[in-house]
Amino acid sequence: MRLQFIESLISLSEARDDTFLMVGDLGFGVVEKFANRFPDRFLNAGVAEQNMLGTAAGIASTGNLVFVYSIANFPSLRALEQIRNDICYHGLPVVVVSVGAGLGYGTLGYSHHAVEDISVMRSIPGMTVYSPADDIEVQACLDDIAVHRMPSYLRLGKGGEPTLHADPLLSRVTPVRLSGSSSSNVVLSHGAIGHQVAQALDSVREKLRIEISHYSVPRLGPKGLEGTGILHANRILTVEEHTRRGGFGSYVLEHLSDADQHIPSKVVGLRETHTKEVGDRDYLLGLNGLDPSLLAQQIEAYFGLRDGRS
Amino acid sequence: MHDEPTLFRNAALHSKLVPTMEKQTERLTSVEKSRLGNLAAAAQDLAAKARVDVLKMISSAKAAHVGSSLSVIDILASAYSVYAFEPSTPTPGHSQTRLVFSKGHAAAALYAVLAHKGAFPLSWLERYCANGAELGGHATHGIPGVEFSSGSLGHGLPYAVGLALMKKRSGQAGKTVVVMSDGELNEGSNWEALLLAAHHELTSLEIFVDRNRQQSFGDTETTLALEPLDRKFEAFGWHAAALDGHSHEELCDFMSSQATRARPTVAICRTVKGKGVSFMEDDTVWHYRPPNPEELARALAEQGSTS
Repeated sequence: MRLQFIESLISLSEARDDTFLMVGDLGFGVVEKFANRFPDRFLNAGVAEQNMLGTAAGIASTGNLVFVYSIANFPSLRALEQIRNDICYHGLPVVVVSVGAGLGYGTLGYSHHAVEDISVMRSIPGMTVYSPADDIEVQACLDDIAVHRMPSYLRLGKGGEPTLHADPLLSRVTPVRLSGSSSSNVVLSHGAIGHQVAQALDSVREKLRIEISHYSVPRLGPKGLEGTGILHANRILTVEEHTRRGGFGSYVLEHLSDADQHIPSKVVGLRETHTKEVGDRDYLLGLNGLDPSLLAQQIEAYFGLRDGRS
Repeated sequence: MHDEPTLFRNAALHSKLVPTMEKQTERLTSVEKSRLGNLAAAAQDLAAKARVDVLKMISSAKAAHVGSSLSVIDILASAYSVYAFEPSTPTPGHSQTRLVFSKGHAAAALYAVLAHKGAFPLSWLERYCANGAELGGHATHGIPGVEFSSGSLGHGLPYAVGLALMKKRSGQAGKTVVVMSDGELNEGSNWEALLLAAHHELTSLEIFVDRNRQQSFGDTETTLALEPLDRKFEAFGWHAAALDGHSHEELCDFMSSQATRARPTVAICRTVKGKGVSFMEDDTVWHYRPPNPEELARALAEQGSTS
């Protein structure tokens, strides 16, 4: 996903001369291609994130679309007040890019797990959160960011995520139906966890013989669920690789509340604990009930009860 | 006049500076001296008017930070007399000097100076901090002339580093000026920014530190010591100058300098918190207290103003 990000950014930067990339001394082996191609539009700010985000605001104020690239919580929580005051308050086009969404940096431990970032970022007025599920959605997010030029948070998987979308042309940042045809039973996922959800749904459908639709929701924007049919579902289940407090599920619930749609909904996310166990992403997803088989059990339990009505 | 600027304690730094930045008045022509004298006189006049307004604004609003506003006002008045600023919010890409006011809590001083420079009506000052008013207690973008919202300390310099970097890369003229407090130098973000600015030789940057030696609990040196401050800046790769922060002549002289600089520059401006009001000077209580009507009358009388 990060390699796709750089490729998409290079394409964007060839088409327009107002892009700028900052890195917080991270991205070795990833960002050099951009730096060599556009040396005047690149800056390694060193291991100093507060200053990096403040400087990004200054660069953006001169008319540039600034991408600030780092990993985990370093470009987000470490520099939160700079994002709030310097970037969002001033409405400046800075894109905070964090690699290692959720448990991506599994064995590196809790310091490197970005599991509260969606909640924190989306609580700031003016900030739009993007979590692409695969490389195709990365491109869609970049296209959207380039048009809107607003404060944005782009949450990228660490890499190696399988492609979910069959057809790149169908990719967009508004909810995309990946599978299923049910208008009653709806599963929504945000980010690369969509791959585990897709696997889980394959086994649930086979076992229960019920129809369930799966949508990927890459962008958490205002009224982002409008016009998709989601607001007319009978049951909704949301999945995110993030704490449930204030994350994607909360976004959906707030949306349903605003739309006066009181649809039974279940929010599935990470445990609300500090992960102390050691393990890679797949192992930790399992501990959190988010590997494909445990996700299948949760989906089954939720929609299976309603089998007769679906 | 006070001590000569202690620019070059470090001889190695001194030798790299071309040309040197010693007080330029000694090598000015009579025309230039006359121009400098006019600037200093304009700054003095602007500061005097702004002091009266600040006292009235803060007393009327029952607001805080009168001491901070009075200590920085001569720096601001000089900057707005010397540098060519646009009277309204700058547009992206313009080449003029940009000023980032990082000690946002002294907004009353900035607003008074801006109003007298014609950025917005003087009547706005009378409603300072009133419900629904244009001007609140911290510097806020959207007010004509205000580049950047501040209030949380340690934000102005990093932002200015971004401006200066793009100024350098695009070859634009003009300076990037930051006015900050001394207590603000407790913030680590400033020292991160100092590293980056020196590394990239952002020579358009000029910081004016309002060195009044007071922060919330009193003396900066007993709270979290900054001295030797000039040597800290020099060790970070900056030129450090010492100025009298209430001398319009020294400030205007320094700000007018067109010397080619090899490094970014900081002017550590010796100031007095509450400057110009005898009973406020160097007293921490005026970080918090507004003058009551009787105190306002005494303070205004000291300015030669009774209105």
